Amino acid sequence: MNNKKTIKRILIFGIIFIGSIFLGFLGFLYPPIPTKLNEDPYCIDLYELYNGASIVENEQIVINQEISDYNYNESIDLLSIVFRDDFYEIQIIIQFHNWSRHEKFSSTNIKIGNTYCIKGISLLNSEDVVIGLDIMEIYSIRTIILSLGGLAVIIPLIFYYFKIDFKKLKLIHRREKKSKGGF
Amino acid sequence: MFGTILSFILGIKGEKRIIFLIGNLMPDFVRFLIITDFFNLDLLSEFISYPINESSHSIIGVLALASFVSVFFEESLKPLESGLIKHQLNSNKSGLKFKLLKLQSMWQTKIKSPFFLLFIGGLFHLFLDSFMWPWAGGINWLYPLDFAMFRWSFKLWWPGSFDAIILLTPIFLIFLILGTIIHIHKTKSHSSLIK
Repeated sequence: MNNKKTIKRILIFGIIFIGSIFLGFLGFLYPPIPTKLNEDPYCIDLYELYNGASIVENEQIVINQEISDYNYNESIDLLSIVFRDDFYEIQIIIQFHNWSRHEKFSSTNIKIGNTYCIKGISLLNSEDVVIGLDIMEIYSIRTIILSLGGLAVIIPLIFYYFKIDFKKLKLIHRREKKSKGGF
Repeated sequence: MFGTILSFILGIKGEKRIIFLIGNLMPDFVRFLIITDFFNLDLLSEFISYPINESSHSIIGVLALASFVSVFFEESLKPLESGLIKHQLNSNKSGLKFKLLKLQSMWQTKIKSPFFLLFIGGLFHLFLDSFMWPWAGGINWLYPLDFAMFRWSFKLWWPGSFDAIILLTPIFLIFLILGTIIHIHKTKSHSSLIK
């Protein structure tokens, strides 16, 4: 590959990724308006939920966040989960009524610091809480382990088929095995 | 695992399969940036890792990544037309089998560019990710356009759960057994043709 083409490809990559950082920054200044598809719930993050509270009021939302704190009030069977974002200084409380009888997806033991995906109805404008409907623990460490497992398979295979040309920093084919004749 | 199945179906072999599999993992390369979370580098994670992770899980992001990763490979790969296909094409010049063989031969000789292999590998990654429940808003296929209609998902399993592996392992095993049988059959007929 000639140098011009290489530079062009690296430039495309750089522009798109610097552009995405720029768009992420713009998203901080001008938070996107939450949208949803047909009857689906709004899939939003904490920041979008906080800023778009009036749009998602009385609507179903799905939020994915690390739990900062929780409190279970046994006398009224109410579980209150706190989602906090220290960077934006936002705090949202999600309440699960009748927690002991609540139909959970998988997790029954809530742990601070673990990531949970919660479906609920936003009542942030009227009651300052989100009413929880479903909860599911996200095992992000498993996803990372699976990705690393994939890499552990790929890396030896790369070196089986390719060798490194250190001068050009390129992977080149290993010499082809001699054909035993035939076709 | 699923990348291997697809490469088998598409007839992508040898070093091309490896490049295709790299393409499969490519959108997750930016995961190392998520490490910023563990070190509580909020500024980095909010403004760099998450925006990059979102853009890399889109068509334009996969294009950019394929464009960058392909720089590390030779521009053109050797065509992978097997001797058996060549022989069958020469001996059998009509009918459906000939057309299928021609298609297979065309597919295997046309895919020479690592960029293309990385790109379709990356798209397959997005396709598989869209089977998960739309955590963090789902896969934004047409990033930077940010509407729910571009973030569709099949909502089949939860990320991090083992449902996908449990459900799809039997299919993978069937393909593996079928592949081995076809390979043994092809090797036998190839060696009988040489004799």
